[in-house]
Amino acid sequence: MTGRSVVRTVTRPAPFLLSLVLLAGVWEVVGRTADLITLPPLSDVLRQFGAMLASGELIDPLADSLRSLGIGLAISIVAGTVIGVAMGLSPAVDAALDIYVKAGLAAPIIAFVPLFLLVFGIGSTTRIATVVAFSIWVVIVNTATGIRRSDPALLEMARSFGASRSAQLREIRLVEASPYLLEGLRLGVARGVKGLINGEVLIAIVGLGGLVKRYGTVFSMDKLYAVILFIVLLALVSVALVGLVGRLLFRHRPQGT
Amino acid sequence: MTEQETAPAAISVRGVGKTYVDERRRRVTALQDVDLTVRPGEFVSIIGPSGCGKTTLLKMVDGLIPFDHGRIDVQGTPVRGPGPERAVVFQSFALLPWLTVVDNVAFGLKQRGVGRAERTRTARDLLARVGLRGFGDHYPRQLSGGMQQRVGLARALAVNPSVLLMDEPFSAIDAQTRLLLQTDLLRIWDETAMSVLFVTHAMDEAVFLSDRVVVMRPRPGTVHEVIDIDLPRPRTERTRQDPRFVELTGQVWDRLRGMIVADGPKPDGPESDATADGGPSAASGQPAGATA
Repeated sequence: MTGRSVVRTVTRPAPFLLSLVLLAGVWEVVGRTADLITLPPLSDVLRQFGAMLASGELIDPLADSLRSLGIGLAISIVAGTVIGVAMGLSPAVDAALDIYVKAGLAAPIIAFVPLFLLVFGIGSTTRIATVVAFSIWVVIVNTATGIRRSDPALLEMARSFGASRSAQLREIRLVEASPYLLEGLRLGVARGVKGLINGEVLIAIVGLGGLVKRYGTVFSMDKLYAVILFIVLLALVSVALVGLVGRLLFRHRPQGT
Repeated sequence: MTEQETAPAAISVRGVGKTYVDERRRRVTALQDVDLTVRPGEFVSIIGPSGCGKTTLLKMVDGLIPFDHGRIDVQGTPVRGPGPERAVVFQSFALLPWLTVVDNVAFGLKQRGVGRAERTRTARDLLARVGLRGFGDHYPRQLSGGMQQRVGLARALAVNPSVLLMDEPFSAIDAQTRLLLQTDLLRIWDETAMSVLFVTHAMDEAVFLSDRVVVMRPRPGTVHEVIDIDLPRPRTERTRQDPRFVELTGQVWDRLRGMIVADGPKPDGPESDATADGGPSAASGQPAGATA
């Protein structure tokens, strides 16, 4: 789900609220009547959620996780944009790197986490590497696509008026590519969150993913659901935030010419 | 216009040719042996059917497209690329949609390192000159096509060029607005010492504006004939009723008709311009006016 659609969903409340209430109702009723150990009633989960939030049990791992997420995303965005620009501008660079980017997009990155764990140990470096490995590919692909889609007529105009190659990049190509850059950012953040939690579950003792692992192993289902709920919220909020930032930055971008 | 023997020509094209290989790996001669001179202060139009290479030739004069044979000089200096003494008005306007009108007009000045305050002042002056006073803070999409091309003209004038190159600038604009733009263009040209090279599909436009009309023919693109337009200046709306205007437009049509009839409605030739397809419909609207 993209940031914009999250915002739109939340600001178009009636159908969204209806589906939310329905889901919550079904969960609560089934949880109470079926008495399954794997599905505690929603009210228990929410009570636990409140308690864990109040006790700091969620916040400390969150801060820990967010730090790795932030560093990893920053690396992905900077390196991914630079690589994407190079691939978009130069067919040679594109030919040299395209296969790796495609592989990175398609490969199950989760398989690399044990490797990262061996190389980097259980510190935050492994989690940062996981976030980068999950998120950098979409940033590269979107940047390269956006740069390649520059309108030749605008570039020709810029050249005619004496714009240098770097001015053409800064003033035409990157601005024109901004919707692509933003979409890459959105997808990158979503994948980064995914990668972070996946990595933490595998590493098993750190961050929010560590909590998932811990409560899952001991069948503390209400706490497990509370953590999962928290992670889903975190993902939605991060992606919505990117969408919001993007729309503030590119307010004036028209749809077409 | 009197010829100034001492000053070098504003534009001198000598024996220019260009060949390229198309998608089906055939060699296509886009231009062959093109000779063309624009004297200082002169207004010269190029007209010809699609595929005659007129837009390609204009872009060569600006230094945007390389050529294989011959030489092109602007004010006595060989063209190696775009230069500060030339500016182009583009068929598609080529305005940056994310910039305000005033920033669009200032684009060329910015590339030359002119400071923000000064280039904004110059840009606002030029907007007033092209009849867009008060529109500086609008965005291009808020303006009509005719107004957008006035912005394109102001952007070109802002760099104070001595040679103005116009690539079918009014072909995407409705007929009535186009007439107004033509008279405004002549008024502005009259106030400057600019030489203008103007590519068009419209015969009445070429005759109305120009000192000379260069008729090109396609396959390979080359100069077919140069017609002197001896209509008095300043030219006004009344010029369009002048029997001599009608006669000259008819003359241009005579030269073009043979090429178009012989050619039939085939797909476009080597003209690089993607929007060149928009032209023929404009040109086909002309014969009625020309023979009226």
